[in-house]
Amino acid sequence: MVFSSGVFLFLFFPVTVIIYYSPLCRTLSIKNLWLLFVSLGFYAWGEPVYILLMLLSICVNYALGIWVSGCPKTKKGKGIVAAACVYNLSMLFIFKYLPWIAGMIAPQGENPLPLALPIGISFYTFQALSYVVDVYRGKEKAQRNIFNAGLYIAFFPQLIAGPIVRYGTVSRQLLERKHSFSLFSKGAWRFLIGLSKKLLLANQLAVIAELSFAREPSERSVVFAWAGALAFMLQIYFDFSGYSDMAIGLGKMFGFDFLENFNYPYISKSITEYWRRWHISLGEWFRDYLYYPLSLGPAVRLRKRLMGVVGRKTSGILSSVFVLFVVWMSTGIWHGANWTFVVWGFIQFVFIVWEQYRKPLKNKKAGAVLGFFSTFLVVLCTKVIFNADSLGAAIGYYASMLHLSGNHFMDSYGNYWIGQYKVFLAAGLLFAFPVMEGIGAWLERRSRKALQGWHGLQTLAMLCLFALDVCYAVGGGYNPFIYFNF
Amino acid sequence: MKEDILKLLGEVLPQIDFTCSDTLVDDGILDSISIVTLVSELSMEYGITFDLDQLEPKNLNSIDAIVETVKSLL
Repeated sequence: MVFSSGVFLFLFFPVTVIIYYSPLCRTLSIKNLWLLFVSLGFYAWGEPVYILLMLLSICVNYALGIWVSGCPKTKKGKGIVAAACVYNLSMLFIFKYLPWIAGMIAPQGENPLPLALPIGISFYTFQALSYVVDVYRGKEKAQRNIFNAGLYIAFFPQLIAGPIVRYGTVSRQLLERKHSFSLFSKGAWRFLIGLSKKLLLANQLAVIAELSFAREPSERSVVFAWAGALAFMLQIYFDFSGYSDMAIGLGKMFGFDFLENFNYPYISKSITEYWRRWHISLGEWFRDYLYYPLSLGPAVRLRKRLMGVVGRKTSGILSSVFVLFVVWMSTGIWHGANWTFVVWGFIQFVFIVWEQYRKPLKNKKAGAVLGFFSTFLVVLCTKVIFNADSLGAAIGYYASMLHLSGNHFMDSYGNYWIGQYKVFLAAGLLFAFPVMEGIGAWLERRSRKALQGWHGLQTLAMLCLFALDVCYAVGGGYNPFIYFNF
Repeated sequence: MKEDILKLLGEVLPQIDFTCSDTLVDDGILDSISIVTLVSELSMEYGITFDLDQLEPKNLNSIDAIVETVKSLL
């Protein structure tokens, strides 16, 4: 079920909220049970078979969590964490990567393992695994109530496409959380922002992106290729950050407080900074469960071995680069079973390593301006390979962008579609940057009255957006979120 | 020891002024890659082994906190 669909907006969500706040759900444990019930229903709506996989994941990780809580930071505990890794990652491997590998080995055109990817498996697997690891590390206590453990893993707002919520963020909220009209309205406001990002921007920008990516390299003009890449860059931001806004908003409406997942990534002045602003929960997951453990263990051992051969400084660089390579290749392949994601992850790795060891410009202002534009360009270009179906398609697209595919610089087809959607491209560029916050801060410094007027205007705008969202939700077709595929 | 650590960190992370803030991690001055570089160098210099718990911001937020963390591991 998609948040922006009519079924969710006009049936699932109202029924869930009404019963949640009704006398039927008097206590918090009944409220949690109700949320678990509707979350499983929400998942089963799209995945009637794979719901069993989800239930198995809840049971296995719940049991491993309790087991490891009896022996944190011990050899036995390490063994249990290894078992959790084997179980969770093998589920991911079987359903996500094995069909891809089998397809590569099998003769052309044959699909020996036609397994569909269970929706959200990459997200809930990582979430469940982090729970067992955190209990082992002694950071969290094991959840003794299987329904609460189930709710943590399957809670519908973040189940399908994140944010990857840490158990520590919600462990207390599962047992005690406050509900208020103020929190609910803040959540509804946030949900509406996310819904508008998805329906009014992402879905519209998708038209340009899809048309551009679907053309043959020789028939795609240079201008339309760049417009398509820009459209996809904006589409994926509004699609995914919109989903996160809706998840955070829904969480608030039920008394939960999730951490932010985006912070205007396109204002970044380096790729390193970009990854601190884009899909924050994934970056932090890889940092805490892969990057730090690898850096403190294998990387130190590697450095000690290398030190006698290449010296102290070089051994430090090589061991650091080795860990970054593992992390970024893992990040790439996490996004999907395709060579495009492997190459995309490698490109991120190359830029991040380069940024670590380059010499910064002496003129800081010039460095910031150059950093912003170069990062924007790199992100835009790497989104092409991220969105392409194959490496060949990506190369064809780059050839179109560089005027190397025998294409025209401009053509009537591209110009027509750009003309049709130029308003969405402009609005996308505007709202991808913190313009609204900037106006609010500027008015706050100048006049309190003007600020009040600005807030009133925003409320009015939200009401209009709501009306527009309803029209688009009712009239629109099925438009799943991009990250559903991951 | 503080002077020695400052000198060492100045060589491997010259872009960071370790004396300028008491919230080096919280403010993002020390990011994850800088933290790993710092830990790796201190491990080599003093023959100590860092645990994941020692990577918590409170242990690395200032030069004094870093010195205390190193002392606790010696």
